[in-house]
Amino acid sequence: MQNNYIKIPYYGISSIGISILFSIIILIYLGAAVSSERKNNRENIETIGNSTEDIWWENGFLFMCPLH
Amino acid sequence: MVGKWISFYVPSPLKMKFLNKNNLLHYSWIIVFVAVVVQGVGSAIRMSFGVMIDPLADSFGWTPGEVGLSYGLMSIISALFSPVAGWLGTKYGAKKTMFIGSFLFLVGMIMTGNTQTLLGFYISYGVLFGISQSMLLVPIIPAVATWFRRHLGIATGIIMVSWSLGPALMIQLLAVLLENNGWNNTFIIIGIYGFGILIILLLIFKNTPEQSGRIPFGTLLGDKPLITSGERFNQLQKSYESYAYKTNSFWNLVNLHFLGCVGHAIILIAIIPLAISRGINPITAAGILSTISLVSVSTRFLGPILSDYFGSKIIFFVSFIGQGLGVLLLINATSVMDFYVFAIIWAIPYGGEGGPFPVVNRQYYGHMPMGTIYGWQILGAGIGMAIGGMIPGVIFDLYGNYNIAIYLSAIFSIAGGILVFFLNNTKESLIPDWPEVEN
Repeated sequence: MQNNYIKIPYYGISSIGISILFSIIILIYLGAAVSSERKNNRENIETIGNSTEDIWWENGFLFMCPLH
Repeated sequence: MVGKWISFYVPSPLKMKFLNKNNLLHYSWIIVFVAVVVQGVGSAIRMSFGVMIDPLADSFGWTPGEVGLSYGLMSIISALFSPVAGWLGTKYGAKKTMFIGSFLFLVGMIMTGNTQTLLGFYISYGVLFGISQSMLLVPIIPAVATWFRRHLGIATGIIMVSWSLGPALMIQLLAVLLENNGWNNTFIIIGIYGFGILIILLLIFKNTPEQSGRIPFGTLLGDKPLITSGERFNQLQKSYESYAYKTNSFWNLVNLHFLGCVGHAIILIAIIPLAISRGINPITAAGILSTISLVSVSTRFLGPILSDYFGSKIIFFVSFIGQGLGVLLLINATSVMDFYVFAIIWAIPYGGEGGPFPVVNRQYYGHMPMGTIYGWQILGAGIGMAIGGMIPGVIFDLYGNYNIAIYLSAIFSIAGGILVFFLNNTKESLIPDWPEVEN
């Protein structure tokens, strides 16, 4: 039993790592989807005459997400 | 010196006989009562935040999203500070930690009541109130555990009930206060009265039974007192925490709390707008959430008790799988009956999911001080609640319905159910027994 206290808990750390990774993937996907929609909406408005600049976090999400 | 200490605290046969006959008179129930009120007040003010959104938005012209961001900030700050709060509770005692938490609660509420800017609101409600929440809610559960040598499940079950009843009562009270006093004074009144109640309760609160000349509930004649203070306690605590961090189950339990909280936070946030979007009127839709709160009381109470007797793994498994599969009832729900059937069926596993954590800590780590360990689990829970709370609104904005949010809730909960298989058997302690006082 003593050996248990010097081991690195690989399974536990891996499981928490998978959850974090999965959550980050979902957040990036949703963030990019929202960013994409906001950009599209702005582009439609710009055609009427209002010009707005890109927002850093929108560009960040779109850069990180390979699906958007 | 040690001998004198032992002779004072070792339970005498006469005292044990008296206690066995008078279990309801044991001081541990006073500690449970304090925990019930503290947890009830704390969780109530958090969970009834929705009542505050419109008055604040109307007063300052802030959007509901800007007001709601303070809730997210408070949840994240509270979650991140939880391991620190648990450590403070173990190092300096739950009582001192909760005193500081009460003071921050008072300052946070008064500052919130006087706030004029959005940044000020974020600092007072998001940061100060967030820190006070973790200092009030985290150390008290491990402190209650020290009062129960056995039968911790009963104490935990009673405390968990307050998580449901507190918000149910507080929402009504807040509505009356807002109607009669406006939002500024409501925050100030809650701060002053809440602080007063907390201070009175803390005056009767004792950190450990040994420090107040009592014996823990469930102590048997052959039991010797456990080490609960002094230099040796501090040394042992560090060693035992490092043992616990090296077990897979420590990490799995943090993860489990995270997955479960994402799973139910999505539903708790989405259920009312989801029902309204499918043609249910707002009052009837609000009743769905009340039904969930009411029905979940049963398993909030029974979950820890059953975990104590049958082992926590089976209770976790049934709760997580039930919570995950139960949400699928919402995919095709359209009538009032569909939603209320969902509320009753889903509330049962949802209520049973959070309560067994203090019990499983006892099963895995025995009587070691579990403040920091529990704090890490609450960190997982808090981040899960923050992420889960954010998902439904984004999904609805993007797709015009909540179906993907419902599937995500199911995935997170079922992943938790699968993770339960990787937990160790709860019948054996994962670390050495916490030492008793030597003769």
